[in-house]
Amino acid sequence: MTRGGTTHCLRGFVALIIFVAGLALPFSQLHADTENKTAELTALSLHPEWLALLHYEVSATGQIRKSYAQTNSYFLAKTGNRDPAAELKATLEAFSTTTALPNQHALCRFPGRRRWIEANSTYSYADVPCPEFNAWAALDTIDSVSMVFATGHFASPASFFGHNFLKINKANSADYLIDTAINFGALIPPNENPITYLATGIFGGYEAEFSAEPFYRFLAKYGEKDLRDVWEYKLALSDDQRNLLISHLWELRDVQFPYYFFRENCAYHISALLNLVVDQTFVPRFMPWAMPVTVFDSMMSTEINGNPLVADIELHRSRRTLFQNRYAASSVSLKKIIHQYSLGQVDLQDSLVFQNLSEDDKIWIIDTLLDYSAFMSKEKDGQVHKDNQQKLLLARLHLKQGAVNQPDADKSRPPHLGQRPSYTSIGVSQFEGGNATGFLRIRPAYYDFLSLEFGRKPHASFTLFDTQINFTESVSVASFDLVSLSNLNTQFSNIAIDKASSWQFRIGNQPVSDKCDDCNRWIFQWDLGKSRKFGQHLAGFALAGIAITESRNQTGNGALQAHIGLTGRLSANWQLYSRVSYSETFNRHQPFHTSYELENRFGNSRWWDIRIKMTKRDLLNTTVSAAIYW
Amino acid sequence: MKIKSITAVSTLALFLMINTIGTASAENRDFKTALEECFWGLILTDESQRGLSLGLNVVSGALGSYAYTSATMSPDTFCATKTATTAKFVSETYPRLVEDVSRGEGEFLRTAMQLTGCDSVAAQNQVSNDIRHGLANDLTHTQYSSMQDAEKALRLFTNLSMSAQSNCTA
Repeated sequence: MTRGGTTHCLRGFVALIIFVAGLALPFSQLHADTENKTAELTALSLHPEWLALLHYEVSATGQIRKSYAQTNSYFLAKTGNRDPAAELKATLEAFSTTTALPNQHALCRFPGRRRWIEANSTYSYADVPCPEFNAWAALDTIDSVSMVFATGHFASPASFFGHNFLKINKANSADYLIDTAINFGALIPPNENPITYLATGIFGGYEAEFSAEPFYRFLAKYGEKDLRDVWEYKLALSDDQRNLLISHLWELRDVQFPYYFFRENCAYHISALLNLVVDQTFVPRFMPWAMPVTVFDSMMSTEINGNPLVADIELHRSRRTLFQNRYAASSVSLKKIIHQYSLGQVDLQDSLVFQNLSEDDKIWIIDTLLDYSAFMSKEKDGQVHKDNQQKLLLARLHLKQGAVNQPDADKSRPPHLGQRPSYTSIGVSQFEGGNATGFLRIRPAYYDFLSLEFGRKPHASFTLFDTQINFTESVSVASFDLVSLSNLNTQFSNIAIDKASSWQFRIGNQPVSDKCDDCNRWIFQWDLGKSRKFGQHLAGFALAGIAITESRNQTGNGALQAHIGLTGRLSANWQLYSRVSYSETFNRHQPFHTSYELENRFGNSRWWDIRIKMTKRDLLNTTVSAAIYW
Repeated sequence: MKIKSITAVSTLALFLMINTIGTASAENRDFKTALEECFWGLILTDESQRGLSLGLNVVSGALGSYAYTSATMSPDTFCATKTATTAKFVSETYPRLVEDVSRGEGEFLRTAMQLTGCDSVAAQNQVSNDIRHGLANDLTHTQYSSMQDAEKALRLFTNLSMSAQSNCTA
């Protein structure tokens, strides 16, 4: 009995153990599953692509801060804008609900999140009806995505550095004009005054949104109105990557972001969209600015799926470039007619020379002059050009249909081949009879007359915060140009467009004289004039204007001044900028002076150059420097 | 040179630069009705109202630019109709489109045909001939060059629509 009782008891004990174990096993399994799920969620919530989907700011040291997105409805968790794990949890919960109406379900609101979660986890969801998203995205009609760069423009400070946006390309490339462009821009109130605009743009206060618009609107604005070339860089994304990106764009409707001119701008936020598909930062992490051109530079050195990120580059020419190319490709005799026409010396209908041309040559002339009239109609005497345009269109209608092909004279090169935007040089400077002085020059942005002329205006200069520090017995700021803008407006030879004005504008701090130390003063300079091309690469200019200055050492508060000069490329490896200036000051102690400048750049690399510069006002100064561009 | 001095002068200078070079031309978005929004440009007589400021990255308002980027997104939205889409295209690309019309070919003309639903080559040729004829009539009108672009675009759009209605099946 005892034994048997023991046996029974043991049996009962074993049964109990089995029973408990049987109960415990699922709990343990459940616990393990829960742990796995938690680990999976934690990993997912910290994944760079999830952070990119939520537009989280990640510091240069990798610290996760908070989302740039300021719209509450963009987050499903109350703390979603600063807690990516909470937002992931809330997203998964919302995706699991079955109560929402078509288009209203979280799966419809966040199709990008859905794609990413399903691709990167064990979660999957049944289809829900999202007709609005499906119609907008039309994913099966999309072939590719491009990053687009509109070159810089001097009409507005917001355009100085150029602009970038995305373009969603349909499979039928013939319809590219109605492809969708995705823009990022500040919401500027109508009639904003310039002071508020400037202060708010720099220091913050504007909100910005992503928007979707037909590509032709951008071509009309940039290519036709502003005469800016538009470069399209087609990206080699896989189908899944492209669909994820487009699905995410839908999520960004009406989501607002803070906007700053210098950093959190189009270059920053548009390029950040690519972080959904490639782990790469396209703007400098440690710099307080983001320039569109650097995005393209970075893209060219990035790989995706084992291939270069950029699959193809295409130029959408501005009116100016269209005309320039046609003119350059014209024969000497046709150029002569265009020249005479531009000067108003010939009416095509009355010109025997024109009437005796072949039909193809007539077509070529008229098509060229249509480009010419189109952008000249925006200049002074626009009505004259509109009248001419009317006659040209009528004449063209009477000729055979179709374009006439001529050799391609386009020498445009994409912006990523241009000079890197930031400049640092070291060098030695010596005044005649003086000691050599070492110096460091730093110019964060953007280009000067001697920079490579790709992706920017030729014979122009735009620099910001150009600072030279001299090292003598002490360290001193030798000169500081806050901003300097020069636009010679020379694009053509022998064409009336050369009548366009040249101008320059500068605010800087420089020494009063070559003969003094610690005698810097502020100067505000504004000049207007004309320029003319000499050959293909050289431009001469004559400018006159006024300088308002801070008075130091009885130097007076300003001067009238005149400048003549020559700038351009003498060979592939040698560019120069030369100038002679005469100043008549508002001061009887130093009534006038003449100064000279000759600067040579050697080398045609986008990464470095060697410069030799000679200047003379009171004393001849010779400078030799070596620079890197970054 | 002191940092404070640089900062103060920098701020002033940037302000002066803005004032000197140009002001922020914000997009005029105070259109009162969806009709105006859709036919933006065509019914506005003030040319200055058409000035977009994409350089300043201003985005669309009322109907939301997302709405009119796809003709199929909101079938019940007037702005998403084929007519409105074509009207906007003609209005905004008129300078390039009219040259394509005069040449009888070109990507802007081809896109305008596509938007009107003209797919067949024969129909496109007929429409092209019709609008060339209409343009020739307009050009012989002495006031053509003094018309605003919006008015010129409206004439071209009318010719295009009427011909497409007669010749294109879509």
